[in-house]
Amino acid sequence: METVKKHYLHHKLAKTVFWVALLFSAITSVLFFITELNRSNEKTLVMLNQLLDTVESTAAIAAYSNNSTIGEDVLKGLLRNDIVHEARLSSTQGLQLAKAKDTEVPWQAGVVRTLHSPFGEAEVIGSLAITPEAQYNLLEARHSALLSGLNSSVLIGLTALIVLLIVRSSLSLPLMKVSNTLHAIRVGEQERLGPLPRNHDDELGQLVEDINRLLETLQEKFSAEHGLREEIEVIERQLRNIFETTSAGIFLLDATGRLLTVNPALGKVIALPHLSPKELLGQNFPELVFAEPELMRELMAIAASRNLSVVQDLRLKKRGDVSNNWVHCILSRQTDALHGVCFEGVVYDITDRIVAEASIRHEADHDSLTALFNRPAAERLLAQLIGTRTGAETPLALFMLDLDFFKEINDTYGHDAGDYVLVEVAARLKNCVRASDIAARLGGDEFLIILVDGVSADYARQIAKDICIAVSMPIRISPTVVVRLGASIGIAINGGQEQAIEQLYKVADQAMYEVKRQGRHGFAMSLADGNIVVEKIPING
Amino acid sequence: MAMPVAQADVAVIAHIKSNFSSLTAKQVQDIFMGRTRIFPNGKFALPIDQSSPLRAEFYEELTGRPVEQINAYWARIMFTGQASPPQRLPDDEAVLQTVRENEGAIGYIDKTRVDGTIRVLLLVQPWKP
Repeated sequence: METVKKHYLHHKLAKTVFWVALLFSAITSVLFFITELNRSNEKTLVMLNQLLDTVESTAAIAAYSNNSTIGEDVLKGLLRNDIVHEARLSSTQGLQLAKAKDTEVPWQAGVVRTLHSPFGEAEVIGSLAITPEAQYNLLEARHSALLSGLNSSVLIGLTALIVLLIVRSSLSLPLMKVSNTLHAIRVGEQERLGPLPRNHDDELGQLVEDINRLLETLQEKFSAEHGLREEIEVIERQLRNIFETTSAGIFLLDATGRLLTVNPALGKVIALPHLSPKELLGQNFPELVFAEPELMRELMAIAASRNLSVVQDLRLKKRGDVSNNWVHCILSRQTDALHGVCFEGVVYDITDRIVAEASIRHEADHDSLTALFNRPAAERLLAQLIGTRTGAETPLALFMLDLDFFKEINDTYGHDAGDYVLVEVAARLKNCVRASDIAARLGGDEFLIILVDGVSADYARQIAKDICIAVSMPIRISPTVVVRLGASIGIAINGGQEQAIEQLYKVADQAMYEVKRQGRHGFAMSLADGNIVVEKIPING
Repeated sequence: MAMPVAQADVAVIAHIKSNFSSLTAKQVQDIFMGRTRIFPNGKFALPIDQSSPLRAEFYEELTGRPVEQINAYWARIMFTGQASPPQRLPDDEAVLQTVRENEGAIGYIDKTRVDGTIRVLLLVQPWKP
């Protein structure tokens, strides 16, 4: 506990009482001095008059008889009094006597007594004047004032002392006890103030009770808060742990897309593992990370306008050999007191999922044996092609292809051989068409080829011919066995105008059957007039 | 009042040749009480007292004071040595004799003793406050 120099209350009180008492004493002394001076002046006047009364008759005789000896006796007698400074006797017959003490006094009013004849009262025969000793008044007044001052000082001092002792014993000491105990108690401790036996029914007792109650409440609050804080700390630690160790990247962006906060995993997720979280701060997140930053910015705009969490799969910028290049991003707008509008977001790597999705889609769309499109994919693609056509494009051609002699090969050499043949044929078909064209296996030995663009009848025939030739090339199914196949192709050309898919299929089918009917291995095309022209391709030895 | 005395008037007398005919009671008083030593005409005045019972009457009627006070007055003055009370003669006859013989003398006698040899300056009336 820190020990500070204490200024005790009763000392302060004593000081205050002392000074106030001194002040009062001084004031009363001054007042007393003034009144005493006045009183003394009055008293002096009365005494002077009494003195005059005493000597009046003798003075009158002196004035009457012009007797200076008697006059001087009178004056001497007067001067023997302390209060008399100067005395003057004058008579109408020319007697002028004056006596004074050699003290210095300021001029002041004296008393003048008119002298009457001792034998005829009415006759004025002279005057007797006395000037009082000013010093005397002053001394007397000062003496009185001093006495009164001393008197009141002693009284006031005694009273102050008694008050001080009472205050000290009944207020200051118990209060000091309470104060010292309270000073030693630390917040949240069990300790309480001891009761004051002599003050249990007064304000001090109540104060002690109230303080104890307050300490009780404080302790409860303190422990409750302590528990709560620990709980919060645990939660905070857990959250921080999650933030630090999660594999997802967590970040906070300001309104312009700059990174304000990032967790350690972010760098790895966004394929920048060499950048520390510190280095990432302040960077423009969309520009830095994404292959299409505008998508991210759009996402931010949506999140800002809707005030909702928005999600999007986003492709990362291509960077060397880093394998992850897709992330799933969840973004929501927050309003931060520190940064204003900002965005918090989570990204996690979904490259594997994207890859898996791609492979699933591939499997769904392709024939597992030949890797050509399967029928549903082909039909979907065709429907897309037809659906998006405006009529201004060059025509597309649809080939229906059926292998000749496949059943025989399958029956003779087995399914493996058949499968091998189908794979080989598929490869040759692909070689004969452009990459943008569509080659599909419809099932069994049936194929569909769509030449998507810039197709004239002659071009279609040329391609069909190429295919026939390619397919008819020998296929070595085992070291000793070489087989040959043929192809029957029916061609339907979409002549630029709207034409139903079914119609195209039907036309191509009819053409193909016409080829088969006329001995296989060739191709056929329906002409505008409905005739079908078959061109047969001889199978070379 | 003091014991009754013969209520005879007192006459203040002076030498027959005095060139003034009368004095006021105050002028008489001042002369007898030693306040002045000269007459209004500037001549020297010699007051003559007497020790007869008339003295008390004279002073009481002249000053309104008991004769004891007059004695005290003179005692005080005498003590200073500066002045003395008027010369005192035994009776009216001696006063008359002296006044007849001295031109500046002034005295008092019973009014009934007044004759032509002297001049009466004042008849003293009982003193009235």
